[in-house]
Amino acid sequence: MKRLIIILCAGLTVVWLFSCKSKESQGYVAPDAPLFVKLDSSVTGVGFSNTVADGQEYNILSYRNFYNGGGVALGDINNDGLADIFLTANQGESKLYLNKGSFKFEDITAASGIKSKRGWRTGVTMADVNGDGWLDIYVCNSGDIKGDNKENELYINQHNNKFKEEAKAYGLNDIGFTTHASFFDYDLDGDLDCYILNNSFVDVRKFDLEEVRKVRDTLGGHKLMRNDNGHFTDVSEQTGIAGTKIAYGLGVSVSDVNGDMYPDIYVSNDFYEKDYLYINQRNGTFKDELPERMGHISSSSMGADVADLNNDGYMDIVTTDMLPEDETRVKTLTRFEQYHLENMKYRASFHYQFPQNSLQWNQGDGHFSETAFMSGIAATDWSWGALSFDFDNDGYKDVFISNGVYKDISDMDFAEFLADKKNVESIVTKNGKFDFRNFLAYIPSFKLPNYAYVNQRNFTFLNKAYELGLGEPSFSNGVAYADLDNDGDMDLVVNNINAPCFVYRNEADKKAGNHFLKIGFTGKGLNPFGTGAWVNLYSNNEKQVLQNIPVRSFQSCVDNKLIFGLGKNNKIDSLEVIWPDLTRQVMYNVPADKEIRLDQKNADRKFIPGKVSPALFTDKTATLLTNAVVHKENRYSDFDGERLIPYMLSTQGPKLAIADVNKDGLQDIFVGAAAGDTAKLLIQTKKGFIKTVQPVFNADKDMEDAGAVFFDVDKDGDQDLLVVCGGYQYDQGSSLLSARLYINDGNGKFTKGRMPDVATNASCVKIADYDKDGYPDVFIGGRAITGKYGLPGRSFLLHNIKGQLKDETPEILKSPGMVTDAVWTDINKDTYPDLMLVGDWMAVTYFINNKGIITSAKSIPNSAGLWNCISAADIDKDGDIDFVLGNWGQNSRFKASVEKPMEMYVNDFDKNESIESLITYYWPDSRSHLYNSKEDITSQLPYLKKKILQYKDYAGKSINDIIGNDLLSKSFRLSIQTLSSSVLVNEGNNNFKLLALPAMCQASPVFTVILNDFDKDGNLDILTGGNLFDLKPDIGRLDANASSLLQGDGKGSFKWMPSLQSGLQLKGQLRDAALITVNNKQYVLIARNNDAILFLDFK
Amino acid sequence: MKNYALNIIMLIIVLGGCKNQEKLQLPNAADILHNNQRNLTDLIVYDIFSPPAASRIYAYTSLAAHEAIRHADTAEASLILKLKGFPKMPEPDKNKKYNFTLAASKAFYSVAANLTFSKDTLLKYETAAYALFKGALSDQEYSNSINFGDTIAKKILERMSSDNYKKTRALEKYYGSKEDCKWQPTAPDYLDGVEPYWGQIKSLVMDSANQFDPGPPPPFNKNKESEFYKMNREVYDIGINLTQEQKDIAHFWDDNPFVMEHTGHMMMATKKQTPGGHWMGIATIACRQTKASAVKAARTYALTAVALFEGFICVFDTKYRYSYVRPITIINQWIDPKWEPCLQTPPFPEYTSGHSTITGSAATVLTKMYGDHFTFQDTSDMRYINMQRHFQSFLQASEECSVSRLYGGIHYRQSLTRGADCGKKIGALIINQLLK
Repeated sequence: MKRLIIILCAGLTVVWLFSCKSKESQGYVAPDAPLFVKLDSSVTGVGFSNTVADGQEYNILSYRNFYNGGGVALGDINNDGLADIFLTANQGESKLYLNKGSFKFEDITAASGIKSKRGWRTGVTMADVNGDGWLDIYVCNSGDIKGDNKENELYINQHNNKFKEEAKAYGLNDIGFTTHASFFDYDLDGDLDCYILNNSFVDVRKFDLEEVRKVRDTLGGHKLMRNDNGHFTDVSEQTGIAGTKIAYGLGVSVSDVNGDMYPDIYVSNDFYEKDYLYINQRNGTFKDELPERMGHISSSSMGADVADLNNDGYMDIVTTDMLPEDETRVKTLTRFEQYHLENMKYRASFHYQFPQNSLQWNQGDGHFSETAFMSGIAATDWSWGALSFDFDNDGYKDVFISNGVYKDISDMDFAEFLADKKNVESIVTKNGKFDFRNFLAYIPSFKLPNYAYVNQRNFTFLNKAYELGLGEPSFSNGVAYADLDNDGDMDLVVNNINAPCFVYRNEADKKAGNHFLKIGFTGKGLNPFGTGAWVNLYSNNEKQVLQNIPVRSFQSCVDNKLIFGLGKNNKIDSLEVIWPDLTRQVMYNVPADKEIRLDQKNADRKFIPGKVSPALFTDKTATLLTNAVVHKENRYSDFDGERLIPYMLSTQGPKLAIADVNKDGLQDIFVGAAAGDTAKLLIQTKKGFIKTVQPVFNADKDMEDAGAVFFDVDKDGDQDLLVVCGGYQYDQGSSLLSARLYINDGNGKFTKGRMPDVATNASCVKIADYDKDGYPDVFIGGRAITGKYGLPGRSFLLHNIKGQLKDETPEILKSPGMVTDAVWTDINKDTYPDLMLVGDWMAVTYFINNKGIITSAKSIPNSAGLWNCISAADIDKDGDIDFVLGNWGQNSRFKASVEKPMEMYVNDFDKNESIESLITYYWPDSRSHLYNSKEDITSQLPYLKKKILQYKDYAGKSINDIIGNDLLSKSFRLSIQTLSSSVLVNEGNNNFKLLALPAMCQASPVFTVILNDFDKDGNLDILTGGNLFDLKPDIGRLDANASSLLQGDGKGSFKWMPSLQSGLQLKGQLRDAALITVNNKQYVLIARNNDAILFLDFK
Repeated sequence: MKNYALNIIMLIIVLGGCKNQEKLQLPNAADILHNNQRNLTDLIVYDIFSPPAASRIYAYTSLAAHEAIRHADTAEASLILKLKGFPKMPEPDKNKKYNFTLAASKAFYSVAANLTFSKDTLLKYETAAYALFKGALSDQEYSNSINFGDTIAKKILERMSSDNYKKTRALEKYYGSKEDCKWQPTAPDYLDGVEPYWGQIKSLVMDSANQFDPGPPPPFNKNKESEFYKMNREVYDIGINLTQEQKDIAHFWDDNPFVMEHTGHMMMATKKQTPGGHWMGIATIACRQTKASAVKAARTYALTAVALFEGFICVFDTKYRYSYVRPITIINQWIDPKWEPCLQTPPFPEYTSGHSTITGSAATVLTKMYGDHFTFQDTSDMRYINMQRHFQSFLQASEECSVSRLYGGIHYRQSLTRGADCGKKIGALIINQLLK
């Protein structure tokens, strides 16, 4: 009878019906002759498997890191020239395997004296802690097992394949939930210090906005331990290491990121705590400078690696997270934060964090640009180790990412519909004893292939895991590389949960035909393995760098020998090694394809930080303005009303207008304002800029300025001003959207002029005398209709009749789309200016001016994008006008192409008199799906809950499945084919060709461009400005490229100039830029949203 | 109580299993309604509705059932006729035979189908309920009843679709403000305000959402002698000295429909019936204990549901009009940064207490129907939290429910009394309008 009750109880029924999903990898067939060959334990003798079983008392419910898995350490423990293997098991026995050569290994765990059985084993590190020339082994322990001792263990090498545990004597018997530890010389005193990476004792039940993170936890916090003659002392507090109570450390990566050769530390933290980027202050202390140096980071950062991935000589950083690639898994497993929460967390100094892997490109001075989406490595599911090394020795480092979680514990259907803990508990208690394990069977479990990204050398990577032989589905955690067979390429060992570990032999030596150089180190004194040594290799006009820091990826440690891949080139021009004590040695003509040993005693020079040659642009704002001129954005959230739109339209300002308003021969500046602030007019004098008071501007301060232009409307010889409104907070028809004309009295004092009532949420205002009557006419671009994203904005053409503007908008120009920018230019060479428009979800469209009458509209085929701006110039010197256009860029989930367009359907889908906009794009399954989360869709369209109550009802569906063909066919539909900022090359005869601008310029939306010959080589260059912060957290934050300089070759091609060289290391959201002459010298004037304007000098 | 449930289930099983036999006995009509009611609560729990949204479901479904079943007793007047915004209701055809319990079930489930999401589960409930009648009624009587129930449901849906619910879905999110004394999102999940526009839902009895305005709450004051400081201090002092009894009371009445708990990356939601669901359960107890007829049971549900519906409109209008701060915000700031309330703070403004208001109105109505000294064992939450408590009267239960929010650390005492006052006034208005 009891069973009947249960079955008839609604809500609980599902517990019993929910089928146990577990897909095994039996279908996996290895590819033919891959680069990496998996060797069976019958060959290698490495039969290790990390077996983890949930117990009644101790399981994923009682210990949050139950499925985090074990680590791998590779290193030569007996100095026989062969790297040996240590693997940690969480619950079982960790193993030490001695390398006998030819991929034969011997399990010497029992004889070695290593009895690692404490607590819950996690990370492992091989380092010569006592500096005797023999590698010691540090095993980290964690786990919340009652009554168990989780002190970390230090196994000191006894030089005979035997070890003795001496953690306590060294002061390294830390009792925190240790994930890992890295040994390196932070204070440059010659011995190895230690960073102990702990995972907080605090439950992850909630995050605290204010207080908790300030509390230092001397037991469970992160620690920096200084080596004081063989005893390690906790110096965290005095060295500036946070040691906070809420640091959920999962990765520690040491390297120099800012060019001073002092080791910096990147710490990746799980959960809500942000990561740390500790910059070594060169005085024995560190400072976490992450917020100033990185725009955004992974939210649940797991493992990390530091390596130079583009061979520019600077260390880049990869962190892993949990975002799945597969649409179904994203929609059933990933919970994106709400927008208001993102801002609250930022204000509480948790920085900007998003569920995605991060790829932080070092700009050269330790400031970073994050491009994981653009680079193709953002989504690798529940990931652990990131490991960068050159798979095939072609000279470019690739990235291996291990992933898989034994149970999909973040499954949202499980959380919301199945895992009602109290319910289940109370029901089961009635039946007998509650055992969580019975319940666990209902959590789905999927093995996942690891990812192996091959470097495409253009800031992008391609996953070739399967082709490379690295794609066998598994639950993989720790991973490390070493040249196990001394053939000059890196072999790979991966620690798996509940399956034998993977041992992969790299056959690059046979299959890739590339050259290499292998390097071992002999360091001085207490650092005999030269930990921290940095090597620069120059060959074939390219530079490569590697650093000997064995602790990498996740809970793992690589061999202390380095391998440079040289590709087809076997000539090394020079090799420079910089030792931890900042001595260095340079060698020339080093032979390839062999192992060399670098010895610190040969280091005969001192390292001196390189001098950076002066950049093309320098910021002169402070010298030109006594007080900063700041745009102040009003706080308004577009998402509160329209929760399905991906980005806000209310942060489009400020826009600039430049003219000499008081006829003194000096250019003056108008800076538009957001709602609630007063627009500014800066008058240039010989002594600098003076802010003027214009009562008419103040009277209009509730309006948000979206565009502005100076022109002489009444032909009285001075510059009048027309300002158009936007802001996306006022409804269509509101008088706060009315364009304003300000008449100049000739001395730069403005009064309100007469205007027809043109109220529209505008984007731009452009002037041309289109009918050649001698009076300049006006085009006003309509950006959108507030609250109805997707529907075309209302645009206007104002005819200037002897100084009076009159609305004479032809029908075809009233609603061309969501216009963002326009340019008047004579396309058909009939001397009458034609009008070219770009817009959001719009094709590039031009309107032919037939002797003063705007007639036909033409769209350039396959040119629809999320365009923000357009500028015209003859970039290829062929005598006609070309264009440069700013688009959304490639650094987000959104993708669009002719074959796989991004689409939007606009309709009142739930018939409640408000418009919804539904956006789809093609996901990696090559099918088009909505971008939105289930929560957002069903909260905006509650009627859909009937169809999609559970997450699995939503995942995998097309928009047709969800909305229905009937309703879709009645919807307003838009489609776009390109997201790349591009040049539009005029090939004559009304033929245009869109060509994407260089890769790094696609890392952010471009909102403004200036075409000018900045480098004075006779060819036009492009300066871009952009970034867009106010996106749905599902989309992230586009902050990677505020500004770029693209050098033109005069033939239509452009090359990105690294930002250290260009000097364009700007921050913020650039919205407008213009050239301005101050004191007879040209500057670039830049306007940023919610930030100060800038003046940039250029050489 | 468990036995009642078992009996019904047994009945369903037995009858459902023998549907081929002729001339079955009809089940007890009141039991059918109670069973329908419980099914609905289970559905609401599973589908996750906010308390105000749940009250809307209870109101329309139980009014539909009452409107159908009232024809079984010629003395029973229509309630809907006395409520605002409904179209004219259909009358049964005098020449046709009906079973009004079946008609009521059909009306109930048809309305529910438009308001809830788990259509398969609902269909299962429905089929099981109708199966009881299939063998016992002639085909003609069966289909007459089903059709009649369906027509009523359609009329109810007309009112439902114009009560502003849909419109309020498209309005802006609500985050309160950082101003002193104003509501702002609270730990642990810092969610935006739930149902900020519920005051715009068209009421059934009240002439407007703010007919019973409790007046403004005490002003912000940091002074330790001020009323504001003292009432925060009270919540804190009670919170850190909670007795087991007080904790039990807080949890017994929590009825928070959805609490997400985090264990690392693992999340588990705890779902409970809403406060409205709890009082619909108490209504069931009153009916069963007095062996109320089906018609009276339907009236009990309808009046209780109307009391809840009106209560939520009134209190959510009040909440967002004053947008008053929650204790956790002030206490963490001024008294103890580490203090956590015994219950998770619900994501909407504090003033006044929703529990106090809606139990005030529901208890007033139930007292009118079942008397001042109706003692009962409240077992309605057994299935969700495995707890039960005994009460001497509905009023006592409602007072305990009210004070549970103070023990829970999520309300000030002031909000309890003022909320309860409003609730009682709403109850009186309902009695005056519908029971006289």
